[in-house]
Amino acid sequence: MSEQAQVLVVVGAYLALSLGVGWRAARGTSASATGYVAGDRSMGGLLMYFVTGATIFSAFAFLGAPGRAFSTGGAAFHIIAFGVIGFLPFYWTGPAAARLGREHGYLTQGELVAGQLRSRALAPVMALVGIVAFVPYLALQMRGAGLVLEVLTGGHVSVEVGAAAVYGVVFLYVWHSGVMGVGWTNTLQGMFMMVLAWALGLYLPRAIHGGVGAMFERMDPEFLRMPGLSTSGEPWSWSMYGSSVLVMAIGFSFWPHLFQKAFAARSDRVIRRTVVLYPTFQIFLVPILLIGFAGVGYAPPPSQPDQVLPHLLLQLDIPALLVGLFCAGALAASMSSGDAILHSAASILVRDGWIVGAGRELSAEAERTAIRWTLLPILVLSYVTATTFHEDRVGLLAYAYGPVGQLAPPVLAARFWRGATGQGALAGRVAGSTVTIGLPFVADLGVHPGLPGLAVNALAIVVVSKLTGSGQGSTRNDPRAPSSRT
Amino acid sequence: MRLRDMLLAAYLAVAVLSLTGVLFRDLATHDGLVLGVPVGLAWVTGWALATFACMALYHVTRPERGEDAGHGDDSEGAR
Repeated sequence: MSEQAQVLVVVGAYLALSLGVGWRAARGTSASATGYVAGDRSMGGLLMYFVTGATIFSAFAFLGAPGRAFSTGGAAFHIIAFGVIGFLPFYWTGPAAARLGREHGYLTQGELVAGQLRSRALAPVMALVGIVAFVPYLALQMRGAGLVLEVLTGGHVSVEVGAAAVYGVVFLYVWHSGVMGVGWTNTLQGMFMMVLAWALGLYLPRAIHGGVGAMFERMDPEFLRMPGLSTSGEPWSWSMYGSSVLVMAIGFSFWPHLFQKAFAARSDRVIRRTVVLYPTFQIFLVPILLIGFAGVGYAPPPSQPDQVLPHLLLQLDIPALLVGLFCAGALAASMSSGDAILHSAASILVRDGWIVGAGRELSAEAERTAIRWTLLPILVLSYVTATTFHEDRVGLLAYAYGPVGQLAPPVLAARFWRGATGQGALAGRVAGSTVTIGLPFVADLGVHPGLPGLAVNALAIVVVSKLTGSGQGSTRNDPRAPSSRT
Repeated sequence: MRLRDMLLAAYLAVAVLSLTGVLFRDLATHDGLVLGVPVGLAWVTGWALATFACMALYHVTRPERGEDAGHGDDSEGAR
């Protein structure tokens, strides 16, 4: 059997296992929208830990992050830095959201904000912005999966075919099992990724440089020093480093697909324990960075920084079985984010767009069916994006974090400030996103554009809420809020 | 504000300022290796471990409020 065939057999076995685990996960959950979107609010600690951890660690983990370490040195440490603090707000926002979810039947972030601020218009706006960030993010996962398969099979499986095959499996288990399929496959994939990351992170420096310490001793200390280099190879400024960490940390727990898991948790205690344990997931990134550093000085170098890991594996003449295992691990990283994004995007479109925004009523079964059918166009749109645009992973992820970070002020205002109004939150959301996306085309302030975006966002919420706030406070916690349903 | 809340707030303030490079920049960018890895990598990994320990301590000292599986409790910080 050829090496490519052996790789494909291992990948095929992994995909079959994922499909089996994801398919069986539906057992025990109801056929309602709450069952499909939030697993009947029954997720325990193990699932929550892996669903939140593996969801965030995407194709970026095995491709973008090693590439960043390889090409930008000490700048790559910011990938760990923002994750250390990024999930902590969820210790307070998660249980608060879960309680409101139980009381009012919320299943999405948009529903919560719209319901708390009594503004139907907010839900579809938040859904739209979420989808704008979701599609390139999902496309990134698909392209990552396709690229890994193409490189490691020596071009026998193209990016297009590989992405279609992998995401065909994702579609099947998300279609059948909803969030519980996402949860159980993420648990499998998370464990697999951790083992593989440590195995490769220790093996490659040893095979190439004689060990981790020996590898770093040979490198230029300047290269390893923060803030390192930008992706264009220029020295990165501390203001860009610090503001990037801050913006990505603020946006971290407000990614709609991550925030939504608050509604799936069995109890507040489960959410809090998950947050407490979460920094341990950051340790998983250490070997990922070691993999990237292992490629520094290696000849021949990879054609692109993102290719450093598959490039090293092919160059080192590693047994095909191990290459296949790596390939499966990289697919696990891609799928563990892609499935959550796909599931979340479909539920957000139906719940926030159709039910809350358009004010349509659907039976529980019809709603689940609508969400299932919505998976398909999102998947197709993302696939077309993945196979058409070839944006680099780091740039695409940084782009996605900017607008997502702008979700934080409206969500926090909706939950923790009685004076906030729907108009204020809407104005903040639009103003913040506009500044974040538009600023790089107008001026370079030397900081991540999301930071001035957040300032404008918060200011707009306060000013517009003050101007439109009379009489709003008394209805803020009215249980007849939009989408007060299960 | 209880003592544990104040201590956590102080810890988080220092953590955020340190991880964004505002505080202890010289310490974080010192040349050399710690446990075989660059100081900067050891620095951010150390913050991950310290944050886990700090949050665990904060969590276990949380006053009991009768929460149980399937039910929430009163949410701290909620209005």
